[in-house]
Parts: sequence; structure tokens; C-alpha cells
Amino acid sequence: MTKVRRLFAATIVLAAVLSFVALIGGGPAMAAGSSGNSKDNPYGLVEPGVLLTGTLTDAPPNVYLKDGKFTGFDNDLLVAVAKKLNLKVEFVGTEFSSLLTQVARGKFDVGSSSISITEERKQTVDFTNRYDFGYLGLIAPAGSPVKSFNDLAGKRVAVVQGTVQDDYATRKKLNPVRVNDYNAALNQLRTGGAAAWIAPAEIGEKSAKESGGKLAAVDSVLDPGGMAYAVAPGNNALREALNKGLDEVIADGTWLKLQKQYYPGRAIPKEFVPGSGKGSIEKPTSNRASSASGSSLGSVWSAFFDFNAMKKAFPDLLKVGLPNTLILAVTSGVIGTILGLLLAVAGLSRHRWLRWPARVYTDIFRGLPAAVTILLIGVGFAPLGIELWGPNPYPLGILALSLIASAYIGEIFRSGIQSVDKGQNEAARAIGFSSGASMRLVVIPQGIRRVLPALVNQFIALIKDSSLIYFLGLLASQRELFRIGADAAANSGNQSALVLAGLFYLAITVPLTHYVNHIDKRLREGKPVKQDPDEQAPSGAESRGIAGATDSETQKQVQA
Amino acid sequence: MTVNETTAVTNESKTTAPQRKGVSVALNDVHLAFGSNKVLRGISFEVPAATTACLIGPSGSGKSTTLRIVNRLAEPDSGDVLLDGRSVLSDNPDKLRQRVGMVFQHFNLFPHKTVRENVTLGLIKLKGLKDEANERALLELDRVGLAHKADARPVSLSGGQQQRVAIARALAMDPEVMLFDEATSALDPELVKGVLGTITELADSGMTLVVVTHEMGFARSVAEQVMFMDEGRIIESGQPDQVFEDPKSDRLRHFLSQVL
Repeated sequence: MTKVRRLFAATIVLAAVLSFVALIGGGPAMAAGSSGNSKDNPYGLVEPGVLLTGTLTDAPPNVYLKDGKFTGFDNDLLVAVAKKLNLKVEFVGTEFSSLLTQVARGKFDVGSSSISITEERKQTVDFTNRYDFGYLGLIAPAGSPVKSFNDLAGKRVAVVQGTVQDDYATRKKLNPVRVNDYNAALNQLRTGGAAAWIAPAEIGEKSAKESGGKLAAVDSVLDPGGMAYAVAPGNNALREALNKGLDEVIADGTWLKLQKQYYPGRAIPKEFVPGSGKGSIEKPTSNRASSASGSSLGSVWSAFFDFNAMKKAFPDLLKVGLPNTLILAVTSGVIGTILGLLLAVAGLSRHRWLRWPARVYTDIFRGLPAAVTILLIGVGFAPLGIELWGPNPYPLGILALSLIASAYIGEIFRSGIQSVDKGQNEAARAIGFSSGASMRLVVIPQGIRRVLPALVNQFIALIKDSSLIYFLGLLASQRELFRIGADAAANSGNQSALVLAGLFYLAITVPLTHYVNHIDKRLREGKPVKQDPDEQAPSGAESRGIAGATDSETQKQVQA
Repeated sequence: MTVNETTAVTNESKTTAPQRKGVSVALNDVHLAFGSNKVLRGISFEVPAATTACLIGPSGSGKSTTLRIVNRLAEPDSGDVLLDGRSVLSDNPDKLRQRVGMVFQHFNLFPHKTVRENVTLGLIKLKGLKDEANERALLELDRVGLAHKADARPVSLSGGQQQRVAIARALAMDPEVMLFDEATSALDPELVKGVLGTITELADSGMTLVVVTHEMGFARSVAEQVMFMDEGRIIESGQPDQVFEDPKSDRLRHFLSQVL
């Protein structure tokens, strides 16, 4: 029996991993790899003749969506470059945090999103020559003591995770609050979750301008790397073709025209030379090419099971992620259980004014997606939270998780309490206990025992839901398992750290599940009890009152 | 097993039968309806102190409800309930129930507590006893011959043993009246005798008993008074001999012909 179950579980895990692989982009990667650079498709494109480009929808003026069309400096420039190569461009909006991975995996031919060239990113993708420069802007609330990049020591600084700003904050050993997108970063500033925001200068300045004087762009520095398009590692044909096209659009003045169109009044620094101009060429890292042009199955394997990447992420996952995940899950589990018990009792109350609020509460928090609740509570109550606990997002995150959990746990308790035989309450009342004392001493303890397995399942759900707290912006030391895995994956373009994070989750949840099964079995079959020699088999059926009163009455008439 | 059950009661009891102080119970024209269903239609009786009354009658005749009126697990629509000659309807029902013990058909022991804890729960939480609760629990368990099972869980006991624990649990609260609601109906036939023995001992100890039962032999030998109920009314009542030997109504005659 257990063998079968184990086999079944293993199959499910395998199926899940495989579908995960396919989802992230293993499929297209294999297609790209196998089609190769044939004559019809010299650049190894996903679809011959079409430059499938991953970009963002929300980062003007570099890349954005306007009137249903992808545009912005980078994208318009790319269209011009593609024209020189007789290629059509097809844009797909995605998240920056997964863009590089998707390019590396061959889901997109090109990544276009003002991607700053960093050493770490070069481990994942190859870059064309640079076509743009950028400044890092420092945005702070008006009147803030933060006036320059030198004022950031010990301050919470918002950055979009995996970006060059994140890179900068990490290199300078700042205290980065990594968030998912620019909106989340702005929220951090508005709610006081972070003291400043390191943003791409243009984006930051635009936000400051639109803030109605609440935010100010206080400082900026030139991003030393410059920006370039990303292509799959080892796709030299495409990279060289794009470089050639880039030189052509620089030579024919298109580049300068677009610069003036999108960055009116912005001076081009002397030290910046676009395209293949001398001393500015990014050399492709050829050692990366060989590994990528190897068997595609091998590269899929290494994208998920790169043991070096896992080894690198392991200490953080163990020492930071695991404790944080457990803190979140256990704290909200305890609070949720207490609240849930109160909800269950209120829901079973004779008084309408107790029953109804409990009902409404349960409907709301069970009906809302966990992500919505966490965002609404975490962002909505942030000013209050800061007054009470400071900028740490944990209290509000735990509150949100507790509210969600309590709604489910309340229903579990309610069903458990209702399943307790009416005779139990009656017997307690007959002894002289009040209805409250009967519930507390007799009915509830039995009800809880019965739903213990369901309760632990809920706790497992809570462990998983705790990953959603990353919406609220976490310091490096506050990240839980998922965030650490996701960060490592985004920064390296390799999913292995995320796989390892998944293993950590399984290491908590699978034993818990089996422990529940064990408890469940013991509750159902009873603790192994030594039988008295003079004792008959316990009359379990009788004691549970299975026979209805009328039934046994008629039976008894016959017996008498 | 039968032997065990009975000898357990007679031989293992180390203490002498206690003298208990039962009081009289009376119902006066009690009516009760659940919606349009008139369950009780004017029940009146008096059970003198330290005597035993048995309620007999077909299923659904209102016997159990009558019993529950006495400790107000069911509240009458009209009429009166008197203990020791005094109306108890304006008393705190929780306090009243401490004076009236009740034993159920399905025992209703608390499965999450040991036998001992089943008995001490009310003593500790309601009477505020501590060490004495344990002593009293062991004493009552000993009187029903189950002191040696004090630390067992109810599920590990036979039905007869469970019912005797339930009796001990009720008696530990030192009640003035005991109610038995078909206390042996859920038992295997060979376990009935032991429980009836316990109830008989109790009847002899000075306790007032109101017993709903289908055990006609028991009613005949132990009760001072037998009341026959049908359709929410007491049709006939009197001494056992009178009721069983010389039934006046057709309904009682018919009932007796079915059960005897």
C-alpha cells in the first residue's frame, strides 16, 4: 500500500517537474536548438523571418505599450535594425525578472528592455554592442535626508529585483528592498517601506515629476556598462547580424534621431560610443557558447539541476529563507487557528449578530485570492503598520496570511464541531455545565481532534502562501524560500536555485503530510491499547451511538 | 462475561452501600409542543423521595421528553416541575442539573478523557474540588466495580462498563434525583444484567429514581410506581402488580401483549 502510494507520489512529482520545465521554456529551447542555423533560418530564430522579442509594457521611454503598440526608444531602434536585416519584429510583453531566462532558454530571440550589461548577466545571455547609456537615478520623498548616493548606508532602498539598480545596491552593500516592478517600488516610497528608490534615471525622474511634489529625484550617476539587446548564449549569427544592423542605423542617423525623439535635451556623454565604435565593443564570451550549443536536453538539465548554482543558493535558503518561511507560516498559523476557532464558535452561535459577521468574514477571505488580500492589507495598512512596527512588512504580511488562514480554519473547525455527537453536549449539560463550558470542555476538544488532518493540510497551504508576502517588498534578510530562489534564478538566469527552493518546500510539506496521515490513522483506529484478558472486544459501535434511538427501541421490544 | 459483569458489582465493591438523600419529584400538568407536534399533553405525577418510578410505553410516546423536562434539558410550554415540593422552573437550569443526575441510552461518555476524568470533570470545574474530586471519583467508580479502569479510555470498555461509568459520573455530583433514559437499550443482552444490578443497588440506597425502560422485569421488581405513557399522556399508573396484572386500558393491554 505505502509502496504504491510512494510510487504514485514520485510520478506526480516527476510530472510536475516536467510540466514546469515545459512551461518555463524548455520546449522552445529544444526547438531552437534542433532547428539550428540552417539556410532558411540563418539566425536560428524561433520562427524564420521574425524576430521574436521579449520586452516590457511599463517602462517608458525605453520600452512601453502605447495604443496597443510596443514602442519606446529600444523597441523603435530594434525595428529599424531588423529592417536592415529584412526581419519583422514581433513583441511580447513579459516581466523583467524572467526576461533574461526566457531569452537564454530560446523563448525569445531578443530581449529588448534597456538591459544594462553586467558581468552576472553575461553568464546567462550574450549581449549585442551597446546602443544606449543610462543613469541610475535616486528618488526620495520630498524633504528626505537622503540627498545623494552617499547617504544610503543603513537605509532601506527599493530596487526592482534583478535589475542593474539591484546590482548596484548589492555591490555597494546597501540594504535593498527587492520588489517586482516599478509600481511596487513607488509603493514602497509612498508607504515608507523604503527611504529611497534607485531607478533608471528617466523612469525615476518621470515618476518624481508626476508625484505632485511628493517625490524628488535627488541624485544620478552614469551606469558604467551601457545597455544592449540580449540574445541566446552562443547565437553568434544573430548577435553579429544585430551588431551589423546597429552600426547601419547609427551610420544613417536613425539612432541619433530616435535619441532626440525620446530623450529631448539629454546630452550624450563623451565617454559613450554606440555600436561597434572603437573601445566600446562588448566581446562575446565564447566559453559560454560551447556549453549552450551542446545537447539541448543537457542544457535543460543544467538550467534546472545545476549543482553549482544550487550550492551557491543553499546557504541563503537554509539560513535565511527557511527560518523566514517558518516564522511566517507558524506565526500566521497560530494566529489563524485562534481566530479560526473564534470564527467557528461565532458561526455556530445562537445569536444572529455573531453568526452573520462570521459568515461574511469567511466568505470574503475565502473568496479573495490570497495575493489580493496580501496586497490590499500590506499596502493599504502600510502607513498604520509603519507607525506601529516600522517599515518591516512582516507584521502586515502575517496579519494578511492569518486572516486568510482563519477563514479556512474557521470552516474546518465548524465542520469538526458540528460532527461531534449531540449526546456529548447533552451529557455535559446534564452534569450541569453551561452551554459555553460544554463547548469548551467537551465538544470543541473532540471537534478539533477530528479535523486535525484537515488542519495540517491548511497549514501546508499556509506554508506555500507565505511566499506571496514578497509583494510587500523584502530586505535581503527578510526573504523567504521562494524569494531567495527566485532572486538567484533571476540574477543567474538559471532556475536551479528555484528548484532547490522547491525541494526545501517539499522537505517541510511532505513529512507533514505523512505525519497527518499517521495521526489520521491513529485517530480512526485508536491508540494501540493493551487488551485486558477479561475484556471483550470494545463495543465501539455502541459508544459512538450509531444505532438510532427508535431502532434500538424496537430491537429491545423484541428482546424483552 | 455475564458472570463477570454481575460479580464485578457484588464482589468487587469494597465499600458498603452509601445512604443517599433522594428528594421527591413532581410534574404538574406539563405541556410541550415542537411546532404543531404536541409531545406532552398534560403530564402530572409525583415520585416520593427515595422511591423508584418507571416510565413505560411505546416509542414516541413522550417518555424520554418527560424525563428531560425534569432536568430542564427540555423546557415545558406550561405546567410546573417540583423538586422536594418546590418549583424549579425559575432556578438557574445549570444549578438544577447539578441536583439531577442523568444516564443516557448511548452512555455519552467523553471519549477524549479517561474514565477517571469523565467522573472528575464536573467535580473539578463545577464544584471546585481538587484532590477530593479524585477520591470521590474513585469511590463512585469502586461502587460500580470499575475503579481498576480509572485510567482507561472509555472506548476500551465494554458497553456495560461504559454505562456503569456513566452512572458513577452522574452520582459523583451527589444528585438528589437520578434519571435513566433507556440505560440498557443499547447494550448487548448479556451486559444488561450488570447495569440493572447497579441501578437496583442505587434504588435501594435511598435515591429517587425516574427510569424510562423496556425491561419489564426490572420495572416489576424494583419500581414502587409504574407509569404507562402513550401519545404524550400518562394513560395508567400505579404499583407494578396492579399495572402489569390488571391493566385497565386497551392500549396498555395491547402494549403489554407486545412486550411480555
